[in-house]
Amino acid sequence: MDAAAEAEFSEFMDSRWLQLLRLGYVLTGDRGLAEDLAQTALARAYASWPRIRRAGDPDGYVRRVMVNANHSRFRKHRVAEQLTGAVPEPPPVDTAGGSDDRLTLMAALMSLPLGQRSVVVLRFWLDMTEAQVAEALGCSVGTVKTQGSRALAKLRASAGLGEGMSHEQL
Amino acid sequence: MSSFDEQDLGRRVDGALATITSGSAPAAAIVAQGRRIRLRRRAARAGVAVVAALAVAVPVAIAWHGALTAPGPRPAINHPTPRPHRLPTKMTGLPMPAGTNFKFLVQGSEGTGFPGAADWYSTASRSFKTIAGLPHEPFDFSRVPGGWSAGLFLGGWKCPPHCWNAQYFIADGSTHATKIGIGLWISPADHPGAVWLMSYPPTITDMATASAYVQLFSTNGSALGPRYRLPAGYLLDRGVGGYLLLTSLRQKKPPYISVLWDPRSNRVAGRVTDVIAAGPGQIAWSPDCRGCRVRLLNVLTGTSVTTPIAAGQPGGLTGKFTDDGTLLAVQLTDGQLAVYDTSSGQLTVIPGTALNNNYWQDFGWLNGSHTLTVAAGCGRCNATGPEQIAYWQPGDSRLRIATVTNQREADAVQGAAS
Repeated sequence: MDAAAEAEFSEFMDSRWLQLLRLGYVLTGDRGLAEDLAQTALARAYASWPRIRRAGDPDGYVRRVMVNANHSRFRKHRVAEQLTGAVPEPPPVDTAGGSDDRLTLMAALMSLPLGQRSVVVLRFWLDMTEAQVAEALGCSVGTVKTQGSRALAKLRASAGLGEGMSHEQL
Repeated sequence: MSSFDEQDLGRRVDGALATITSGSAPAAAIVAQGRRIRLRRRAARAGVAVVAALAVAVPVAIAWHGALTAPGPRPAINHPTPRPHRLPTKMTGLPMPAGTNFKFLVQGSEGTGFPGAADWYSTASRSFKTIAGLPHEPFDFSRVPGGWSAGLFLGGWKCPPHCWNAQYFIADGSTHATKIGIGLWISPADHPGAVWLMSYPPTITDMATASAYVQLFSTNGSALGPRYRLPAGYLLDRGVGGYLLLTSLRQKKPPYISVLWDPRSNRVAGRVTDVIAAGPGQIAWSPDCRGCRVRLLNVLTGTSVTTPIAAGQPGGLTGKFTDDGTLLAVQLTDGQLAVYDTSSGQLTVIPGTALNNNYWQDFGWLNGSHTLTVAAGCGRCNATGPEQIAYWQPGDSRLRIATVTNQREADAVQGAAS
């Protein structure tokens, strides 16, 4: 890899780290695992940076690696893994009650099956299109729609999560 | 999908994740891990070379799978990129002849017993020669005319913190490394026997806003001229035809801009986009337009020609010039390797070289020669999968290939030297 590509990767790594960390957290519910996933994705990107840069979508690449790595991890440790909705560190004082909302939302997300959670994260948090989500997860657009619908239904049913949303939305 | 609702849900997830904060990325760990992935692939390539040497010594005893195959179809330069899964998983060509010998610059403990030192490995004699003068630390090797640069690698190229590493030069076949100086890296000069050392002042906080220093050194370590200060936010790519080719660090999106800078007058003499390769006097670059073809700028004569090579997307092509700048090897947008002769203007596509995206492929010219070497293997398989090493010379209709399935633990081969 030439010097310019190295420097370009460094910029990419620095600018995406926090977002990837958050993606990792919302996928795993664990700060340590999130860091592992983000580091793994960026390391793989580094190893193939010229090719990834040539392909023109480095963000899509690292997201795919993170999602797939998480799926692999989940398959390997299906029995031992217990996801939790707990936030990684004590949340800041929130006089408006936002902390409760965050805890509730994270708990609801973590209660979703992995595939549904991945769809929710990619589709609604990262604003990816259904086609992009399908490509990232290696499934059909129809599967994305189905998983998304089921995920939303479960989130609606989660205690407390529907509050604050309009009846039209629900 | 229901309207529960994307924006609202996304916003709420955003809020929930606001508690996840972090400082900077663990750059050293990421780069080191990525580097290990790359080295594993290169180690696989070293295994190929070693087994090729065994095949020379004991041809009967080694499984040699270079196969004669029918010539592939003549490629069309402008057709859309084929779907990756339709492309083959192996290069095809003619068997590599017995007696083929390559010398590899090898990083590792094979010859010295110490990690991080470098050796020459001869595939014909199967022997190592230790390169003296390098501290026992990890190094990154890069091709420069007449040899290799060796930069102490301590986890990355971001500066700070990796601004001030010892930089060495190893002449082809030499068993002694020469220290050039302290800096970020060494770049090729436009003539053999010299290299540019790029460094930053101790006060640097951000490469994107800082000005680097460059100074020309002979390959025996003595300064050949004054120290110049680059325009802020630029990195030195290499010396080209009396100028310095600089790449902007501030350009985040295509087209990626490079400039030809005259260090003596501190003036920009030219500007190109999306550089594919640069030689001692030539620059292959892609104009920022749809459907355009790669341009070749001869800096020495000031002439520019349009090649038959389709430019594709910005950053979509990879190329390498021979040391004399007369041949340009390029991987086309459809994955095939081709060689462009700058004298005749002829583009020769090497059939059987396109691989699907699951496979890695490296190519480069043997030092000072017109022999193109290619190595390939599966990037998503174990390092023990079948690998291929091949070479091509002008006039050859096909690659000469050796394929092996039995690999040994090998040090990381950084490239081949004649």
